[in-house]
Amino acid sequence: MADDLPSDFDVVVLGTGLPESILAAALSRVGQKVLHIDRNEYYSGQWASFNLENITKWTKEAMGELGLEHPTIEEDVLLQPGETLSRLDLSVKGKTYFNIASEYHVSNEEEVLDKTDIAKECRSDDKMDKLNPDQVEENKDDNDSESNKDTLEASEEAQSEETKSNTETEAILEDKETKPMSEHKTDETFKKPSSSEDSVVKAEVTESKKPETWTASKLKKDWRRFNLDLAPRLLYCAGSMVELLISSDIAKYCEFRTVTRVLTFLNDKLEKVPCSRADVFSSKDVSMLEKRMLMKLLTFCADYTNHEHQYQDFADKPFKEFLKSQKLTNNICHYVQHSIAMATDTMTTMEGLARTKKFLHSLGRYGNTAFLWPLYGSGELPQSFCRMCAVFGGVYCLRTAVSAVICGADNKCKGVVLTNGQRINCRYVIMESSYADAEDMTYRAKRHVNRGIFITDRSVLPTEDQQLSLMFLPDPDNGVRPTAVLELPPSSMTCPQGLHAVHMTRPGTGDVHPREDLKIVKEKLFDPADDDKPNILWSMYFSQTYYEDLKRGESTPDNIIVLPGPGPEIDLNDVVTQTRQIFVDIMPGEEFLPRPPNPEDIIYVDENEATVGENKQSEFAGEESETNKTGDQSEGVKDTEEVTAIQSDESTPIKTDSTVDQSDESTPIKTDSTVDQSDESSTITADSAVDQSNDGENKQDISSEAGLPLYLVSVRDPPTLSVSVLTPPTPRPPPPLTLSAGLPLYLVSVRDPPTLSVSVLTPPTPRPPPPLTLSVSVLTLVVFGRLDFLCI
Amino acid sequence: MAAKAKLLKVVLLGDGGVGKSSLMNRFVSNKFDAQSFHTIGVEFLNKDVEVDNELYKMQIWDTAGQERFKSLRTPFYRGADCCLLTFAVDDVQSYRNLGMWRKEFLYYADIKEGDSFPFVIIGNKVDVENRVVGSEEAQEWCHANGRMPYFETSAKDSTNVNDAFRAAVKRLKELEDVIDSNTKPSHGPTVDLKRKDKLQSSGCC
Repeated sequence: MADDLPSDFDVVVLGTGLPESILAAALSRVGQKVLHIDRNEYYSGQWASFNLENITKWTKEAMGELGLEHPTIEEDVLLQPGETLSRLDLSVKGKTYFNIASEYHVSNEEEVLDKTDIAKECRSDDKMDKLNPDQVEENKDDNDSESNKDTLEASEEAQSEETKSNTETEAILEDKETKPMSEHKTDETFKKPSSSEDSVVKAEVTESKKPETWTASKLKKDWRRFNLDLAPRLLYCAGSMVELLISSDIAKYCEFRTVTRVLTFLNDKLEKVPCSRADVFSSKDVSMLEKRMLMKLLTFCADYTNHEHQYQDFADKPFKEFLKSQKLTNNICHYVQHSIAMATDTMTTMEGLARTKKFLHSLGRYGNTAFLWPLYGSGELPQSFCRMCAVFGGVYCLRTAVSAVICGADNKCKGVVLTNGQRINCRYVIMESSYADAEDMTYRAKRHVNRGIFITDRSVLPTEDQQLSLMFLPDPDNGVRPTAVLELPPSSMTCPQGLHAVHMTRPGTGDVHPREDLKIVKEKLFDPADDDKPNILWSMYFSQTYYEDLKRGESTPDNIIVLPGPGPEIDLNDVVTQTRQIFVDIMPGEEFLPRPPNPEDIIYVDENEATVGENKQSEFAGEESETNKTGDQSEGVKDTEEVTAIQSDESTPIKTDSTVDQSDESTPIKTDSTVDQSDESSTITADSAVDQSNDGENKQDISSEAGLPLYLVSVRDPPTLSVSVLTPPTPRPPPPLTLSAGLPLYLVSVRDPPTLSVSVLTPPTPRPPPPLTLSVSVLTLVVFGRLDFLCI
Repeated sequence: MAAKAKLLKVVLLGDGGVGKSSLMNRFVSNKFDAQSFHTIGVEFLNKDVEVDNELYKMQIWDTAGQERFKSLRTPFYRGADCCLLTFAVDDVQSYRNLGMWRKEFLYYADIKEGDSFPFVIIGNKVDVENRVVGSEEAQEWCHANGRMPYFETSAKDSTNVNDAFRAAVKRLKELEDVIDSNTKPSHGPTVDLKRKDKLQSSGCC
C-alpha cells in the first residue's frame, strides 16, 4: 500500500458487509467523507461469496488468525490531551464462525479410467497451461497426505451411511485446524489440497450409471465457476431492497434471476407449490375443489387488512390454527403455512397474514415466484453499494482494520488508529459486530444460525429447464426452527454446468453441530443409494453467530454504531429497514440514497469559456437510460424530449449573479429558465429572488465569482434532474430551506463540497404524455453560490 | 438520427496516478487538468466514435479511486467489452503491475480466455523527460502477452489519445470472430428491475 490515507473523514466504516456498505454508500452519497475498510482482502465480510478455492481458504482463516497485528502506537504523538485509546480485539477466531467442516464426497480420480476422457482433459490442461501459467499448479497433485485423509473420510462416509459419530466429525475438524495454512497471496492461484489415486476406497457415489461422473479434481478444476455464499439471501420482488436498488440506481451494477419455483414435501413427495394464479390452475397436484379454496384464501390474504372480521378472533393465535379454521384441506394449509407464509407453527395469525401478503404482492412482478436471486451470489450486493460509495468519493481500503478507538474526555469517539498505525479523525464510527469489543455491544440474545452448503450433481426435482428452487421445510421437532433450502442451478452463476449449489439455513440451537442439525433435511433430499436423488459431491457446514436487537454498549460513545451480521432471514427487507433508520438518525433530513445524476446528463462547462453543452451533441444516439419517467411514453417521445433538452442546453440564456450574498437568508438566486410548456400555464414560484425569464433570448457568459461554487442544474420533465459541480465549492454551512407550495417542487440542497442531494418534495402532478411537438418543460439553471431550492 | 450506436463498456485500468482520468477527460472532452481528480458522482463518461463506418458509444468507466488500495471489484469489471491497461512511462512500477491488473481484470470480469479478450496497452505521459520504460521493452511485453496493441500517449498534449481509444474498438472488432461464449460469460437474459410492465397487476390472483 503505497500512499497514506487522508487523515480526516466524517465517517469510518468497518466491514464491507451489506448493512455497512449500504450505510457507506448512503453517507457518501449525501457528501459525507467516508473511509470504508475491511480486515479481509475481499469484500462483503459475512456476506461474501467465494469460489471453491477461496472458501477453503476462508475455512482456515475463520478458524485461525488473520495475520493483522496491532501497530506500535506512540500515544503521546497520536493522542491529544484528554484522549484515551481503547484497543479492539483483532482476532477473529471463534468470534463469528464455529463448527466449520468441509469435505469432498467423491474421490480425486475416476476409478474407471476412461481413456478418451483423460485424453480430453490432458488437452485442455495443455491449453490452460499455455494461457494462464498460474493455473498449472492447481492441476498437479501435491500428494498432500492430509487431503488424502479428507477423501478417505469422504468415501468412508459415502460407504457407511451416516454412521459417523459426532466425535469423528470433530476429529476431521481438528485435523483441519492443525493443518498449517499455506501462504496465499491475493491475486495468485491458491494451491489446493488434492489427493492422488491411492485413495483406493471406492465410493459408491461415483458409480458410472450417471450421465456424468464427477471427481474431486474435476470440481477443483472448475474452482472459479463457483460462487458460494456465506449468507445467501433472496430479494422479495416488491420488497424494500428491490425498491432501494431501483431508486438509488445501484441496480445497474447487478443482475438478477427469478426464483423459478417453490418446492415442498407433501406426504414425503417433493412437489411444486402452486403460488400464482397460473400455477394454481395448471397444478396437477391440486384438485379442482382445492384450487377454488386456495384461490379464495389467497385473494383474502392479499387484501386481509380490509377483512378484519375474517381473522380477528385468531389475530394473536397461531396462523396454523387460523388456517385450520378455514375449512381447508391439509394440503392447502401446508402450502400456505410453510411455502407461502413460511411461517413456523407458533407464528401468530397477524404475522402469518402479513407474510402471506408480502409474498403475494411480490408475485408476478418479475416472474412466477416472489423472489429474485442476485447473479454470482449475494456477495455482489455489498460490492455494488461500495462502488456507489466510491463514485461519490468514498475511500476504500481492504486488508486493514481498526486497531484502537480514540475517545475524548466527553466520551465521544474522536477517531481511530488503523492497523497501519495511522490516526484517522472522524465524527462517526460504524462497525460490524465482529469488529466490536464485547463491551461495546448490548443485545437481546446471542444466537447462531446453522448453515450447510452442498455441491450436487443434479436437481432435487429435475426438469428440462434449469430451475432456481426455494424450499422451506418445517421443523420436524417443535416447529420453531424450519430449514430454508435454496437450490441454485448453473444459470445462477454460482456453479459450473451440470452441477447445483444447495444452501441450507436453519436457526441453531444448543451445541448441535450443523452436520447433525441439517441431517434430516439432507437425507430427505439427497441419497447416494437412490439413483433418483442427487449425490453430494462436496459439502460444508458451519455455525454463524448473530445478535438479536444489537445496540451499542451502555458506556460506548454514542457516535459509534454497531451493526449485526446476517441472521437466519432469507430476504433482505430487514437490512434496508435497519440501515435506513440508522441513516436517518445520523443525517436527519437527508434523503436515503437518492438517485445519482445520470452520467449522460452531465454537461461540461468550462468556467472560463462558458461552453454549455459541449459534449452534449455527441450524445444524441444515447440509449434510454431515462427510466425515471412516469407513464409509458414511447421511445420516440423520449428521443424528442432528449433533443429538446439538449437544444435548450445549448441556447440556454444564462444569467449570472456575481453578487450573491452568502450570509443572507434571502439569498438572491438568479436563475434563468427556459420553460416551454404549452400544455400548462405554469407559474414558476420561488421564494426569494428567482429571476425568471421565459423568452430565452438574452445570452450571457458564465463567469464565476472567485471562490464561489458553481453548480449546473438541469431539470427535465419531472422527475429527472441532474446536477454537476463545476467549480470546487468552498466549505459553508448548509443552506436554510424554504418551501413553497404548489406545483411539483424540487428541493436541491447543496452543501459542503461536493455534496448534493435532490429530492422531490411534492409528487409531480400527473400530466399527459407530452406531445411530439416542443411542449416539454425544460428548465436549465446555472446558479452561482448557494443554491437553496428551485421549483417549477 | 442514424442507426443506433453499439454500446461498449470500456474500463481503464492501471496504477493510481498513471493518468487514467486525464486520458478519459482528454478523450471525452479534449481537456487536460494537471490537478484532475476523480470526479465526484461521475460513474462513467460517454463518447461516440465511428470505426469502419460503424457507430459505437464508448462508455468509459472511472475506477472511482478504488484502485488506489487495490480494492476494485466485480461491479467495476463485470460486463466490460474492452479494457485499456495503462501505465506511466516514467513509473516503472506501474509498468510492472500491468500483468497484475490484467490478471485481476480477467478474474473479476469472469473472462475465461484472456488471449481473445480485447486489451489495449497504453504507456501514458510520453511528454515527460525522465521516462524509464522503453518503447521497445513495452512493445515486446505486449507482444508476448497475447499481441496486445500498444500505444504511447500523452493526455497532457493529446498525443495518440484518440487513436488509443479507437484502437480498443478496432481490437474488439478484430477479435469478434474469436470471441465466443468461452471468452465472456454468457448467461442469457436476466431480470430488468426497472421493468415497468408487471406480469400481473394485482400480484396474486
